Amino acid sequence: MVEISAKSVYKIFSKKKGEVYALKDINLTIESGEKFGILGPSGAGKTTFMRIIAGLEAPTKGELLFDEKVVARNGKVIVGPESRNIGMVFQNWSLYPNMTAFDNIAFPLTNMKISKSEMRQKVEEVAKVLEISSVLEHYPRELSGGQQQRVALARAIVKSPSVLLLDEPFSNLDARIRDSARALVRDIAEKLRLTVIVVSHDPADIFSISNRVGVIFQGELVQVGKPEEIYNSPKSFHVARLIGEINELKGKVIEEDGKNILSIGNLAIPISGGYRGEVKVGIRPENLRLEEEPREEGWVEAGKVRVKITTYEGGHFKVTLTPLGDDQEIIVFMDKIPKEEEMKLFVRPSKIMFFKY
Amino acid sequence: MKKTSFLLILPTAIFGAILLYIVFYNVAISFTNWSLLHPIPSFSGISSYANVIHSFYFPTSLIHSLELSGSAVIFGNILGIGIAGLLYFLSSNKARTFFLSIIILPLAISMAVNALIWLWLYNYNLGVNWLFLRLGLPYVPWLTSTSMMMPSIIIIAIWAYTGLPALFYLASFLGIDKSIIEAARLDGASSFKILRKILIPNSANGFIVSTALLFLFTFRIFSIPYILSGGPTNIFMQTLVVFSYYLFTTEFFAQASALSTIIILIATAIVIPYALYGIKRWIKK
Repeated sequence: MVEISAKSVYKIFSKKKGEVYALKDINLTIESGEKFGILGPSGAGKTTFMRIIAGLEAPTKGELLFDEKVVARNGKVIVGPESRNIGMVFQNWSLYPNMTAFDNIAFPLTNMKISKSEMRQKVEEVAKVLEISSVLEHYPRELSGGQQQRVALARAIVKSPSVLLLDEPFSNLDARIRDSARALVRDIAEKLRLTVIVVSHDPADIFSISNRVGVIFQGELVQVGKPEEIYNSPKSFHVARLIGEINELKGKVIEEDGKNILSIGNLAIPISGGYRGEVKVGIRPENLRLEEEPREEGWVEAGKVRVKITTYEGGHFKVTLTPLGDDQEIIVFMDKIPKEEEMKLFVRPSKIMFFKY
Repeated sequence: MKKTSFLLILPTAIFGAILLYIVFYNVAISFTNWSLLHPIPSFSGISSYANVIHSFYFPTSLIHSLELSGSAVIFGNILGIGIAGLLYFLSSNKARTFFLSIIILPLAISMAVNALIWLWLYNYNLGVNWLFLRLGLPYVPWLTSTSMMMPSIIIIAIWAYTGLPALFYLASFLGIDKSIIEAARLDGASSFKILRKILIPNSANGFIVSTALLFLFTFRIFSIPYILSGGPTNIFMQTLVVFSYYLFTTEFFAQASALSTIIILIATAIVIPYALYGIKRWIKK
């Protein structure tokens, strides 16, 4: 269990065309025992940041501290990866192909001064927790993706590390087993009370494991907070898009009879809050309904919309529609095909997100 | 489609045909008795083979050839792995290229020139011994003692050809997925351990190629013993190849051909199983 602090960390690559800032002024403290997720699109800099924490690279500028001791500063790695007591699961698992699963898991222990019997005991213990005891004598190439991932995980935790780093741990797994894999990792992380850092572009990975999330976008840490905070109150459209589907619309807030009304085309939605004038809003499809008024509280009729296209996706119908008198497209999900061309749209005003214009 | 494949193999086929013609011509001569004593050759079965094998020089030259190639394979692989390991862990790409070029340098120079340089270095008074004297080490009787003659040749062969296994092992090491090496670093492994447990075991291809090439190249070495002894007559520096030249200079042509054929058979016998194993592994992947 260790507390990790990044202070003004930059990672700059000098190329012929100029300098590329992979990371810009990252300031972050991950508490001891915390499960922290790093979310961002591909190329945002999250793997770079993880590699700096692992010690495989040094920050060009700034400091990295473990429990308030400097481990890397200004281009130099002061405490090497082998001395940071880190367990890491790589995206491709990076198992040693010439060793059996048992030897793979035992490898970190062979670099520590432990007796063979103790080594065997630890490996078997970890294998039991991860349910891979039956495949220990097999080589990585003989194992399925899920099994390889568990071997990689076993190898990372067998040495009782202070930090567990997971780099896109589920992207190489079949969609079917991803959920059970996420549950497994969550349970282990809780049981072992390790500091865990997960890096992913998939919000489901992050939400299943993390207490707190840091969103990295184009090298900058744009928002840090609990997963629900990021989901409900994203600071920008970029963050909102990362987490899930969102409709991005332009509208105007006008005052009518002492109330604020958000107007998008012909739609009129009563809202609270001090927004005025031209606004950019985000509404997630799950906060919109068509045709039938939902029975739960908090829904309001917004007005009539025209259905443009209907497609079938993953068990429901994805309907693209526009407000009357406006071009902007809105996406809503329905369980049955929309019957009419013009239908009523219902919305939950409390879940509308406002962003600076 | 068939015409293109035919055209593609044509150059190889032509050269292959010429090569085979020469080899079979050689084999044909080996079944005659052509020599100074029989200027007009006539068919004589395997008598030339028998004469060569029962000759005084055959056993010693065979042993010398095997010593030379055997040592080269063993020490060439060991040194090659060591050098490749050192080069692999260098952080600067430029330094790696620089040192690798130096190690390969002897292969770029004619073997005769290499032999000449070492002939001077082996000079009893003025060569390496001159340096040894200044360092307080004893003189080594490189070419003056019969027991040191083959070792002297072996040293040159290893020095010249170590660049090959170093290159192939380095290529093999660099072909290993870098994240596996990073995982090993995070697991606390030292560079030597990474070399032993990860780099070498995953370099079976490097081993196969290096061993095959080391054996073949050293088996056919001619210039080194010839130049170090000034001719083909010193039996302490005589390998099979040199012996066959000796037979040629003394005009025992059929026996020379017989010996050449024997040399080809030995080389083939050792390399073909290797090549088949290598091809099998390649197809498996």
